[in-house]
Order: sequence, then C-alpha cells, then structure tokens
Amino acid sequence: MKGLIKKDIFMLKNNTRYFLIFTLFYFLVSLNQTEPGSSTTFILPFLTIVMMISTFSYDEFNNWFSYAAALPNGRKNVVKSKYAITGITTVLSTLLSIFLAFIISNIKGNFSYSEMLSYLIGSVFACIFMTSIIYPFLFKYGSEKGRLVIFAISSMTVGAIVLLSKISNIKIPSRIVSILTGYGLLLLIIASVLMITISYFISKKIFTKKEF
Amino acid sequence: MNNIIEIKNLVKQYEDGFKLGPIDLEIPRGIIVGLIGENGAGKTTLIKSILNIITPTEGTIEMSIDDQESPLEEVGIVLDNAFFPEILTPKDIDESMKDIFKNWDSELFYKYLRNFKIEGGKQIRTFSKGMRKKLEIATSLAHHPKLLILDEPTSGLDPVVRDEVLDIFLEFMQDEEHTILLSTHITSDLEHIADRIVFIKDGKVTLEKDKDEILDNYGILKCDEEFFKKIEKEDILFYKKEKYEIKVLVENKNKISKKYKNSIIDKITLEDLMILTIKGDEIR
Repeated sequence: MKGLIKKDIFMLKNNTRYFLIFTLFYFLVSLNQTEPGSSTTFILPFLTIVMMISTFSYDEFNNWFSYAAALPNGRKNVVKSKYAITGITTVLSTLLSIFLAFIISNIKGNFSYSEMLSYLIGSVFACIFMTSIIYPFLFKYGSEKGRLVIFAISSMTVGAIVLLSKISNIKIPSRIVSILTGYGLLLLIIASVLMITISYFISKKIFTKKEF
Repeated sequence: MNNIIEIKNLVKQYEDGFKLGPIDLEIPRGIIVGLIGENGAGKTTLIKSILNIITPTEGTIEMSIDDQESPLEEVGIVLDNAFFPEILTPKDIDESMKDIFKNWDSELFYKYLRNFKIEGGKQIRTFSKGMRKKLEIATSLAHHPKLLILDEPTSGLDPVVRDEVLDIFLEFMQDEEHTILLSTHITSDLEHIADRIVFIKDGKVTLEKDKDEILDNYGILKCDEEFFKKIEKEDILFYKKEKYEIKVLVENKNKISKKYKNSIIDKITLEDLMILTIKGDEIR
C-alpha cells in the first residue's frame, strides 16, 4: 500500500503550487473578515478532497486502474491507499487551517479557541461525510460522474438545512435534544467512523469486482 | 507441471456480444509464445483474463509460480494503453515501485532508463509514444520477473528501437526458467524471437504450433484459375483471389509440391498466414 500512497503523493505534489496560491488567497480574505478562521478552516480540507478527485481523473486518463489491478495485491491496495491518503491530506490541511487561523487571530487579536474547535470538528466531519459518499461512486462510475455526485450532495445538504430551518419549530422530544447536546461530539465521532468504514468496504467490494 | 500457465475452458462473454473462447491453452515454461490475430480478435481480452484485470465468465486459469501467495510479484507486464498517470516521472515510478514489488531493483531500472535514453526527472506526458513504451518495458523488467506478459510491447517503436527491445527480451530468456507471452500485430517481431505461435481469430484459438513448424510446413501455392481448379479441396486451407493470381495456403508443402508437379510454393511468413486466414476464403 505504501507504494500506491507514494504514487498519489507524487501526483498531488504537482498541484501543490495551486494549493499554496489558493491558501494564500484565503489567508488574505480571512484577514479582512470579522470572524477569524471561519473560511480557511473549511475551505482547505475541502480543497484537498477536490485535489484527491483530480488524482482519480489522472488515473482514469492513463488507465492506471487497469495496470494497478495486475500489480501484486493491486485491487485491494488501490482502495486502501486512496482512503489512507485522503485521511492524511485532510488531517494535514486541517492542521494548516488551524495554524492559519491562529496567525490571523494573533494579528487581529480576537482569538476564540472554542469557536475554532467547533469549526475544526465541523470541517473534519464534513470531509469524512463527503469522502464516505463520493468515493464508492468514484470507484464505480469514475471521476466525471463523481463530480456530479459532489454537486448533488452539496445541493441536497443545503436543501436539507434550509428545510430543517423552516420546520425547526417542530417539537423534538426533550430526551433526544439532551442526548444530542450532551453527547454531540461522541455521536459525531461514532457516525464518522461508521460512515467511513462502511464506505471503505463498499468501495473495496466495487473495486475488487470491477473490470477494466 | 512444466507449464507456467494452464488455461482450461476459458470463456469471456461481453454484453456487446463479443465472446472469447472457449479456450484451452498451455504456455510451457522457458519459451516465447506469440499471440497473433487481428484487432478485436481477443488477444487483449485473453491477456487481461490471465492478469485478473477482467473476470472470465467460465473456466480456470492457473499460474504455476513459486510465490503462490502473490503470483503477480513474479510477472512483468506491459499493457496496451494502461500505465502510471502521465503527470508522474520515471523517478516517481521507481520510488513507488520500491514499495510495490519485493524484488524491485532501482539500479536495474535506471540502467534500462540510461540505455533507452530516458530522463528520470521528466513527466511521462512529455515523452513520445516510443519513449513511453520503452519506459513501460523498463518498468516490467525491473523487479526480476520470471514471466513477462506483454500486450503490444513493440507498437509505436521505430525499427531500430524495436530491434533493441527484442534483444532485451532475448537476453531475458537466457535464464531457462523465464517465459514470455506477448501479443503483437507486428508479426515479423515474432519471426525473430518467438518459439511458439498462438493464432486467435474471432475469439478462438485457430492455430497453436511451434513457429518453425509453421514456417517449415506451411506454404503459399501461387497459381492461376485453371491450376486452382485442379487442386483437391482437402489440400486447400484458405485461398485468396488476387488480380493476377490465386494464393492458396497449404500444409505439408513438400508433399503438396510433389503432388502437384510444376507448382510454385513460396515460403510463408506469419503475416501471409494471418492475412490468408483472415481475408481468405475456405472451401471446406
């Protein structure tokens, strides 16, 4: 698996310049915002997912998956390495976001740890959520259709939030509310682990049976 | 078992109607086996089935390789139009392959790159088609494989480089445990290096013989319409009417030349064999 992770890192390396330009841009935008770190925290991990999807496009363009399937343990390791590298890049970009938020806050002097922590949890969860849903589609249908799925998921999420805010006066049993507020973080962690695990096994199943 | 690959009753049925097989084929260890056939005959499908890139509908493929847990460790591959993404460099390939193959030999890889005049730091997309093929060949050899499975390894190469590559394949065959299975439509390459020829037509193996036996035994009888009528049906494998003559593919050319006095029987090339078998007509 290490070899395949390296291969993806070498591919991502080619886009580092764009990533840095983008980071700088958002850094400057954030400096001029009232809320510190709010945009950078979410944007950078999201950007890494977009970059990961672009590795799928390059892979498909040169029929890499066909070649990889004929390498020792190729099929299994392709799926494993894609999930692993996404995990690594998401963590790294989240750390970078925190670092930037920290600098911005120091410059502007309105640093709030609790606010940053909630952004951080939100962005990591959003990344896991996106990866979990998109990757099985990417392995099944390829990156072109995968992009459509991202668009569909984003629209549906926004739609759901709007819908929820409209019907928020619906009475939620107080017992559920207390569970959500008390164990929110724990529930998020459990949900994330569960989602990514299920997603990984679905992708693995799709990819081991796929023909090239 | 002295066969490195044994294929039994292999069938691959595609939804678009193309069907490969049923194929029974044995690839003996220590020789070069050449797969020939026109485009779309099923050569790539057969190779992909052996390499587990596609799943056969029926049948079994057994590889007799020491590393039973991971037989692909010992197989070097060149596929038609499938390789590392082109934004990578040969150096990136070396770094990745180190952790993919147990026996990856960086020194050997760079030796091939030097021989092929390939720059390690340049992205593959800047390479010509021939350079890419050479890089794929270098990659296939750099983990000391025992079996090479090559789909169109010499396509896109100029004659000089092709010759160079064929020499490398012959050098690989110096070890008598080594085997090559290669498909090509450049049949003259096979005349140089192959020991055995497998001819695939419309998804089926129509001929499987030692190359020398084919070249010594088969011939092309060239004649006019009048002479053609005198030839017994069972002596005509395939025939093709051309502007000034009729070409007849015959087996046992020595026997045939004795049987039909004044007949001219030319030596056959694999290309003739392919063209006559595909384009020619059958009487039987």
